Amino acid sequence: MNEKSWLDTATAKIRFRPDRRAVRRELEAHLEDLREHTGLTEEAALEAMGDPGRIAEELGRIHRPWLGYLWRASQIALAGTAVFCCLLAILAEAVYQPLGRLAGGLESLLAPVPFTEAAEEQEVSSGMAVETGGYTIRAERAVLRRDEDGPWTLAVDLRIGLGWRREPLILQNAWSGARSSAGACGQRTAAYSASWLFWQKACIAVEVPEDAEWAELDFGWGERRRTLRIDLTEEAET
Amino acid sequence: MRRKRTPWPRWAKCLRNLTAALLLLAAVWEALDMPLPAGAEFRRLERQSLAPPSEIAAVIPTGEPFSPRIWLGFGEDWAVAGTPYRLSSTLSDSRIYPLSGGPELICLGRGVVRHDKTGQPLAHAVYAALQPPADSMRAVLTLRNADGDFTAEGVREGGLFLFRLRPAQQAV
Repeated sequence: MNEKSWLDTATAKIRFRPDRRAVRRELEAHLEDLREHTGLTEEAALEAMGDPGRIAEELGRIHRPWLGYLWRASQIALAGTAVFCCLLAILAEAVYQPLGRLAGGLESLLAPVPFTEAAEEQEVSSGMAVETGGYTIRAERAVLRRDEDGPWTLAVDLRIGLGWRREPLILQNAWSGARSSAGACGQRTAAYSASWLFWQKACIAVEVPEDAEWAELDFGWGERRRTLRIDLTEEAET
Repeated sequence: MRRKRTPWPRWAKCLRNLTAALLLLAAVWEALDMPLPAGAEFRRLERQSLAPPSEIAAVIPTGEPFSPRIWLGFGEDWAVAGTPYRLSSTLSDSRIYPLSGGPELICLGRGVVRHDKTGQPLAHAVYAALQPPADSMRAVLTLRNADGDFTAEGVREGGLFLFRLRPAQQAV
């Protein structure tokens, strides 16, 4: 038996080809070392290495092919995903501009709410919060505003915690009602909204009767309905 | 002298590669605006509207490739209409209609496309008569405005009638 056939026999039961090649290289190196250090002939060195059939059995048992295949599959999956992601990232950047939205969302979240000037303004108490459906809705600032001879409008800046799902509220739907101590409220507007990661900022406005002492804003439907009550008589602490 | 780093075991390499692939996919899903299958997207629209999951009453084909269906569901005292958009949650559309307990006529925010005999696509407005009297056999809706008369026979879908409307002279 020559060296080549000995190596072929000894590695024949390793089914995962890259492993077979690596083990073969290692055995070759062993053989070379053996011959260099002991001065044995090729035949004697192969004899000293042992029975290739038994070695093959042992190596076949140790080198489980599925782990090798899984490793190779994971490499292909990673490479394929990387290529797929590059292509989709180009498409996404062209269509959805996620990076621009991320930067723009943060900018909008940090910027003050774009109010127009009103003839009369009075900041009232705020800071109340309600939790529902995984969201936390907090009234950060509440202002009673009125233009000349127009109705009083209660404008509320909301800071909304979105929870782990990070799904921004659709305020036009989620804001389900408004009333005041003096009766029904007038026109409602969800005027402004920006979201970034786990937060959303919004401004809602509702017309309130002049002599109203409080206003209640309902968010949600059915069992998820919660009410945020805003005292209109108490001025905000500055 | 630098010590030679022990190579990672193969299972750890597998785990590392698969985790990296999943993270990449998650990043792209996020960049693509987190699209979901239509049913799940409708439920997401409900969550974003702070509405508990409704009972699906009708799924209306729109004839549009990216928003192929309007989903209509009933809650305790509200109805929800949602049009999931295939590639983006931002472009999905939903609307909630408070219900009073009696029959209600609502106009769904989105129209549908139907083809005439020559294969020409025609846009139709969709109305729904919700909670009709239990013994009602048929429903006809006629609307009149500056664009002309709109008339349609309602199609019964479970607990509601659906109307797809075109001006009378162009109706399919």
